[in-house]
Amino acid sequence: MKVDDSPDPVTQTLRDAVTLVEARTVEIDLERILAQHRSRALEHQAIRLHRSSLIQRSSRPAWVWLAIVAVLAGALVIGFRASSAPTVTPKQLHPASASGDATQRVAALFVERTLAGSGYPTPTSISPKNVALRVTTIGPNGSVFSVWAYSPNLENATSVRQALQTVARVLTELNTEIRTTEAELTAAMAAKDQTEVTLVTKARNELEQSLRAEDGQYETLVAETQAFASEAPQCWVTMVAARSNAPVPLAGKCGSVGGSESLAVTSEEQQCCHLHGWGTQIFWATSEEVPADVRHVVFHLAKGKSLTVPVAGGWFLIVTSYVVPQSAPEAYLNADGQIVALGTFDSE
Amino acid sequence: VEWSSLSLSEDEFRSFFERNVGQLVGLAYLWSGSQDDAVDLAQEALTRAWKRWESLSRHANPEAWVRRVLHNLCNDRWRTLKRERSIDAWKSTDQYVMATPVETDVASLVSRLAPKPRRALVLHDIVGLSVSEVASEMGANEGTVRSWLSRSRATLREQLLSDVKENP
Repeated sequence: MKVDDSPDPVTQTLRDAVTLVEARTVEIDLERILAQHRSRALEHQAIRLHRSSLIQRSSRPAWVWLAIVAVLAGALVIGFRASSAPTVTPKQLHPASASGDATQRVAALFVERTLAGSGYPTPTSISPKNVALRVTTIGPNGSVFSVWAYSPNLENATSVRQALQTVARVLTELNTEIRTTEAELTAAMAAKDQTEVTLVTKARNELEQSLRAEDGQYETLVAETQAFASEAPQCWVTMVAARSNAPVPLAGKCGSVGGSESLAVTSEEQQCCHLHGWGTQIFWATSEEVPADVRHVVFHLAKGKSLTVPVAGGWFLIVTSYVVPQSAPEAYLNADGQIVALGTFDSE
Repeated sequence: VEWSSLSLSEDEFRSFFERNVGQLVGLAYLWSGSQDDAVDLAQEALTRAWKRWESLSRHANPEAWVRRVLHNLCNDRWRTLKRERSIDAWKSTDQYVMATPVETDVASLVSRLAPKPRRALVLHDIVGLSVSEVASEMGANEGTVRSWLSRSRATLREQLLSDVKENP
């Protein structure tokens, strides 16, 4: 008996139609997809880290602050991985005891640079405690640079503003060094030589010294920020660039290092900045190239509060802080920093 | 959570991408009815997959996840298209006119099927899933899937024949 195993004519027609479009697969750029979300992947990791820490610290409120100081410079061009350093696990974040020793107060800071296609930064060291602050910045030379500062607890940390200024200074200096020793750093990335260690040590020492010296003012701002966080998602952080002390739109493309959606969205509207909210974590948005005469950026928080962050040496500094909600709203801002649309971002 | 796992994840995603991108473009084409949109929609689905790759890579069936996302994107695109065309038609004639795609190729015909039968047909005929696998992926029972497949094929067969008669 002859068996007809040829497909149904409709099926065959469908398969033929699909064959026609197979050639267009090449139009999908994998590298672009990967590059767009490398930063987001880092955010995920940070949040996972924080979630894990919250689980282990169940006696603390769920919104215990994760604060990181991060510097991101441009678009994943040059960097190095501190892969020789120990990897970070939630367990490492929580030692058996916290004596309050000075070395634990600001236990670690690490500097990272990433190289497109080379993978992701690896911390050279990590605090045993919660992170208290995160600052994000981009630089003018297209490279990605991250500085993360961990503080053991909020009560003993110093002023957020002071920390920001300190980080700005550190980063400005680092930026100078990067500009002058880029070849060295590129070599260091491959060889993992002492250059990397020197930079990390320098940044860590500067920040540690500053944080230790400025105890006191931090608590007030932390309290304000926590109040802000507790009201999320009704509260928003917005930002407006200031050029010569006058509010101006950020020039060029606005985008969020935290998420490529914002890049896609805002590229359609050149004057629109987009803040990507993850609860009270606000992925920052800024122009990719900070105009030379931009002097500072103002973050307008809820209830009339604001935070002014200087722009120094081409660095554009941004503060974010977050808790860990299941999903979060997102805001689209116009050139004046006004929210023009709200949406919901599904974090997981 | 290990920071160094990120580069590993990227390698895994590259592999996932290579295995699935061709088929996803094909599915998007049949579900959206447009070659141009197919590329964009497949890229968007893959982008979303990468964005969640950390959790998705541990998913029992990431291919099914991304197909579901793709189908939702195609549906969204279709609804947007209908709404835009309806508005355009309303503006031009002062009457509500349900717009339909002007294209008459096979993908366009498929895209006119109801969402669930359309999804079932493509999963079965293009992805190559069995009826039970389609049922599992769509959360339907097998009898329903068979019904969708039968109706979809009948509708398409009729439309294809009609198209041949009108455009010999």
